[in-house]
Amino acid sequence: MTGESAPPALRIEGVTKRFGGLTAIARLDMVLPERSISSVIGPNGAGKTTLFNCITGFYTPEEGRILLRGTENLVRLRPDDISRLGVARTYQNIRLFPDLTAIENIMIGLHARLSASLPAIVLNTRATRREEEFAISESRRLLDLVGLAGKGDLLARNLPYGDQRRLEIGRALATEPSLLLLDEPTCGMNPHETSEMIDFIRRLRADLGITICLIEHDMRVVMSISEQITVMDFGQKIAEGTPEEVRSRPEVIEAYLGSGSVEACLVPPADTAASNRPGAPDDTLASDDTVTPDDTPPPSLSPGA
Amino acid sequence: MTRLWPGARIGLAAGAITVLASLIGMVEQFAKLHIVADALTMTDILLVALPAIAGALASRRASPGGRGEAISAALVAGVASAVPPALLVLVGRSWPLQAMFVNAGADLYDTLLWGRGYLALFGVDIAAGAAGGAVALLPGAVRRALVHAAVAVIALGAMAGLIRPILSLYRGIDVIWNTGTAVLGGDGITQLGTAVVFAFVFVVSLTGQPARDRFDQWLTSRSAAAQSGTRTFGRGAGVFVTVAGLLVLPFLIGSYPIEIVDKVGLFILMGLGLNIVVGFAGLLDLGYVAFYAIGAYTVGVLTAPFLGLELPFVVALPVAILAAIVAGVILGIPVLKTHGDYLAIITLGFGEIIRILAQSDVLKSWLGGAQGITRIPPSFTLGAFSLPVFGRVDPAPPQEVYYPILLFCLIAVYITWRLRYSRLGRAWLAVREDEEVAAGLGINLVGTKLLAFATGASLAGMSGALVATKVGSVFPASFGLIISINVLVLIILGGVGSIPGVFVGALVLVALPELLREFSDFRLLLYGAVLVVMMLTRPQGLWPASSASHEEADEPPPEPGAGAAT
Amino acid sequence: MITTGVVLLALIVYGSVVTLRSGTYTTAQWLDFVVAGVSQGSVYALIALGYTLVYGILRMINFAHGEVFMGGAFTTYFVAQWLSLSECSRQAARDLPAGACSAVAPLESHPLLVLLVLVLFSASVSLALALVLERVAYRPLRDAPRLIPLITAIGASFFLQYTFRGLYGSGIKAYPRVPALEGAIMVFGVRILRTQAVVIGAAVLMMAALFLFVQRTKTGQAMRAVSEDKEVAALMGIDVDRTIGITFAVGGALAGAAGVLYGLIFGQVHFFMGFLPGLKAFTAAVLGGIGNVPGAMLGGLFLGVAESVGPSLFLEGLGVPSPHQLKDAIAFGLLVLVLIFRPTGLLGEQVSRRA
Repeated sequence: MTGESAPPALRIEGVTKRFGGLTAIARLDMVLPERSISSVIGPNGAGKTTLFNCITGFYTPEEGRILLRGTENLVRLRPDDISRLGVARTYQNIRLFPDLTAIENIMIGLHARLSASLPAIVLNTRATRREEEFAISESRRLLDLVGLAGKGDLLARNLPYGDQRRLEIGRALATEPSLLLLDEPTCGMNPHETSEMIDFIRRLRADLGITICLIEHDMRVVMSISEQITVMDFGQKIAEGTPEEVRSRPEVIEAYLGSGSVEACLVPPADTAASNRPGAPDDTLASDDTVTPDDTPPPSLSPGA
Repeated sequence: MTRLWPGARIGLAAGAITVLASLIGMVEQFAKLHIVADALTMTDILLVALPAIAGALASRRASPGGRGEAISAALVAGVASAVPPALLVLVGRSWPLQAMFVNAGADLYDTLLWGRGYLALFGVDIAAGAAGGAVALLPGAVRRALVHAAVAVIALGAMAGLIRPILSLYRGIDVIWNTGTAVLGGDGITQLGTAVVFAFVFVVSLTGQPARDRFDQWLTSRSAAAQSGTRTFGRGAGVFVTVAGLLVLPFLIGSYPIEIVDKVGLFILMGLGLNIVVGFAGLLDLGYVAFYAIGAYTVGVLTAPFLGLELPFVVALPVAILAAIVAGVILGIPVLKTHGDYLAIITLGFGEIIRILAQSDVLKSWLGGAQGITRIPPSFTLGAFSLPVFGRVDPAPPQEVYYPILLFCLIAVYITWRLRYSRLGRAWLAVREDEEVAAGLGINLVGTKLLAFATGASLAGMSGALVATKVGSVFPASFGLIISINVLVLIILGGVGSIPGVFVGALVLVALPELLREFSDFRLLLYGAVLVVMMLTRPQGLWPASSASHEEADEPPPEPGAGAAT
Repeated sequence: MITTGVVLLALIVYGSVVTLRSGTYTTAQWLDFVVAGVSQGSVYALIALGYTLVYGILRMINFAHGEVFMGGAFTTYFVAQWLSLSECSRQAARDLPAGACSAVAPLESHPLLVLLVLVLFSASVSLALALVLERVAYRPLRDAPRLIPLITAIGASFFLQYTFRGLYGSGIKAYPRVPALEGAIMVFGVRILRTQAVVIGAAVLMMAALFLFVQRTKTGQAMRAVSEDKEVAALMGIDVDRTIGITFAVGGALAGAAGVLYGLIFGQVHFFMGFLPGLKAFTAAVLGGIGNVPGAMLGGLFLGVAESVGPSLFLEGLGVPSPHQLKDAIAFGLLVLVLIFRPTGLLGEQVSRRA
C-alpha cells in the first residue's frame, strides 16, 4: 500500500489556529501517508473544515508546519501557489461557478496547466489555439471521468445536486493534484449515490495514484473507505487509527453521543440548523463577497453559509 | 371597496408619476417634441400612456376574476390616475406653488387639463385606462403587435427631425424623396405615415414569428450540406454588407448624424474596456474616467503647440495608451486588496483626485490648469474626393474622425472577444464569481486583476486619445465622475459582461438623448431611473452575457452579435 | 505600500514645519481655522452617522445618502425664505392692502425657535426621503450580491439629484441671513462666530441624543442586535424590517438637520450640494470605523479640521500654489489612504463579519 520509506503526502505538525480569543485548532499533529485514503471526522464545529482551510492557504495557522511531501511547508504560502504544488479541494457547500457551464468550470481548473499570455491570446497564435483545443479535450475527458459526459454545456447551477458534487471533484482533478481534499463529498446523497461515490473515490486513488483525505459525517462511508481515521473535537485530535481501532474508543463514542451518525452534514443551502455547539468557531471560509446566484436562497446562519 | 383598492393604487401611482413629471418640467419640455405632425406631441403621449399602462396593469392583476373584473379594475385605475393631477391643478390655482416648484405655472395646468377642464382630464384618463385594460386582455401575439406598432410610430415620429436631413441628401432620387416626405412631415410623422407605419409594423409583428418558424422548417428539411452552405452564405453576406455599410456610412447619412455615431463609438470603446473590469473581472471601478483623461491629456500634451512638442498623432497614440496602462497598474495595485463597495469608493476617490490635480494650478504649466489644452490637431484628414451616386464629396471633420473611431472599435471588439474565450477570460470570470475558489484553483489573483485593470485602462486611453483629436481641446471639467457613471450605466443596461450588450447600451444611452434633444435635460435623471429599474427587474441587462458552448472543438464560438449565445 | 505612507507623512510634517516657522499665520488665525473645521466637521459627523448606521445594519453603502441630506436642506430653503419675510412684506408682495401687520420677520424675532422649526422640517423631509429609498430601492434587493444594491444606490443618487433640479430649478439658492447670529463670541479666549457656535452646539446635542438612543433604548438595542446578526435578531422576535426602517429614518433625520446647519454655514443650497459632503461624510465614517457610532462623530470632526487647517498648514509649506483649490483633494486623499491602509478605521470596525 504505502511505502514506508516514502515521505508522507502530508505531515501536519503542531498546527494551531486561533480566531481572536477562540482556538479553532490546537496543536494538531496528523500524517497522511502517500497514496492513502483517510478521513477526518468529528462533531460540527470540531475544526475539520478549518483544518482544510489551513492546508489550502486560506487561513494561516499561528503555529506549526504543514509539510507537503516532506519538503514544502505550506504555511504562509499563497493559495494559488499551494494549488500549483498539487493540493486541490472541494467544499462543504459546493462552490461551483453557478453561472458558467460545467465544461467552463472544469476549464478554469486547468488554468495553471495552461500558459497562454495576454499578447498570445490577442494575436491568436498557433500555440494558443492548440492549447485551447487541449483544454477542451482534456475537460471533456474529465467530465467523462466523473460521469458527466455530454452534460458539458449545462449551466452548473442547473445540474442536479449529485452531479454538482461530481463536477466539483472534476474541477479539482483538473489541477492535476497529488493530494485531494474532499469536504463532505456524500453530503445530501441517497444510499445508491453514496456507494457510487465510494467506488469512485477508490477508483481515483487506484487510477491516478493520488492521496485522498475526506471530511465525512456518514459513518458507512468513513468505515468502509478509510485506511486511517482522525477524530477531532474542540480543535484537538482525540483519536486516530484504523476504523476498527477508532470505532470502539470511548472518547469517540462520547463525542458522538453514542450514535453512528447523529451529526448529519449540513445540506446546503436550505438547511438553516444552527450549530448546536454555542461558541463553536466559524467552520468554513468566511467570505463577504461570495456572489450568490439569483435563485438560490441567501447565505444563512449555518456555518455552511 | 377593498376590491377596488388594487386598481386604485396603481392608478394613483400613475397619477403621482404624472405629477412628478409635471413638476420637474418633463411635461412642458415634451410638448416641443412633435410625434405626429400637427396632431400629437410627446406630452400627449405621456399623459395618455401613463393611465393606459395603469389600466393594463390593473386589468392584468384582476383578470383571474374574469373580464368584467378586469375592465372595472382598469376603469378604476383610470379614474385614480386623474386624481393627483387634478389635485395639483386645484392647489396650484389657489396657492403660489411656483415660488417653490419652478414649473408649476398656469401653462402646466392648462396642459394637464387638455386646455378644457377637469372633465377632459378625467375623461381622457378613464378612456386611456379602459383602452389599456382592454389591450391587456387581448391574446399575446396581438397585444405585442399593437405595442410594437405603437412604439414604431412614436420612435419614427421622435426621430423625424433627424431623418429629414438624411433624406435631403437623397433629394435627387425621387422614389426616396417622395416616399420619405409623404411619411415624414415637417415635424414628426404625417398622419398618412402614422397609418402606414402602424399597419405595416402590426402586420409584420403578427406574421413575423410564424414566418420565421416556416423558414426554419424549410431550412432543416434540406440536406445538411445545403443547410450549412446556406448558413455560411448568409453569414458571409451579412458580414460583407455590414462592413461595406459601415465604411460608407458617413456619406449615407450626412455629417450631423455621424457626429452622434462618433460619440457612440467613443462610448463603445470605453464600454468595452469597463466591461472587462466590471463585467469580466467583477471590479466596480468608478474612477474609470481617469484613464480616459490620461489618454486625452497625453495626446493633448504631445500634439498641441502648448508645450511646443507637436508630435504627430501616430506617435502620440501609443504613448497615450501606454500611459493609460501604466496608470491602470499604478492605480490597481493599492486597490487590489479591497472589495465590492470599498473598491468602488476608492476608485472614485482616485478619479476625483486626478481631476482636481488636472484642474489645479500646481500642474498648470504641464496640463493647462482649468483652461486645459487647446488647438489639438485632428488625427486624420481625408480631403475631398469623388464617389459614384454622390458625386464630389468633401468630408467634414466628424466624418473624418469616424474612421479612426471605427477602426479602434473593431480592434477593441476583437481584443475583447478573444480575451473572453480564453484562459484569461475564464480566469476573470472565476475571480468575479468566487475569488477564493479561484485562488484555490491556481489563479494568481493580483496578476489577474491587474491585467483586467490594465486592459480596461488601455481601451479608455484609446478613447481619450481619439476624443482629444475629435474635439480639439481638453478641459478638466469634461472628465468628471459623470463620465464614469455614463459608461457604467451603459454596460449595465446592455448587460454586464456582454459584448453585444455594450453596443445596445451605447446606442440607447448615448444616441437616444442626442437624437431627442427634448430628453437631454432629463438625461441623468433617466440614467438614475434606468439603473434602479434595471437592478430591480432585469439585472442581467438587455442583452445578457451567456456562457459559450464549446461543444465542437472545430466550430469557433459564435460571433458577437450573431445571436444570443455569445 | 508602507514606503508611500512614510513618504506622505514626511511631506506633511515637512510642509507643516515650514509653514509654522515662517509665521505666516497668527495663533488667532490658526484657531479660526480650527473652529471653522470643527463646525464644518460637525456637519460631516451628522451625515456620517447616517452612513455608519445603515452600513452597520445592512452592510451596504447608501450612496444616495448625500441626496437625502440635500433634499431636506433644499426643501427647507423655501420655508426659511418664507419665515424670513415679515408679515408686511408678504402682504405687500401679494398686493394686499396694508393693514395692521408686523414688520419683523419671524426669523428676526425668534431666531432660535425658527431654527428649531427649520431643523425639524428638514429632518422630516429627509426622513421621508430615506424611508422611500429603503422601501422602493433597497428592500427588494436586500439579499442580492453586493454589487447590485450599490449600483441601485448610485442610480437613486442621480435620480434624486436631477429630480430636485427639475423641481426647484438649477440655480443656487441663498439661505436667508439670520441677523441674530451675526458676529462672534469669545469662549476661553477663542473667537467663535455665532453661527458656528449654534452649529456646533446643535450637532453635539443631536449626537448625544443619538448615542443615548442607540445605547439605552429598546429600539436602539434592536438596531444593534440586527446589525450583529439579522437572523438571530429575527429569531429573538425583533421586527427586522421595522428596525431597518427606523435606522434609515434616524440617519435621514440627522442628515436633514445637518442640511440646515450646512445652510447656516455656507449660506446656500443647490441640487448638487449633496455630492461632496456626502463623500466626505462617508470618508469620515470610514475613518472612524464604519459601523462605529462614536467613530463616525470623531471621524467627521477630524476630517473637518484636516480640511480646514490642512491646506494652509502643509500644502503652503510645500510651496503648492493656491493650496485651497486642493482642499477637496485632501478629503479624497484621506479617503483613499484610509481605505487602503486601515479599512477598519482608526477606532476599529464594530461590524462583525457576516458568516
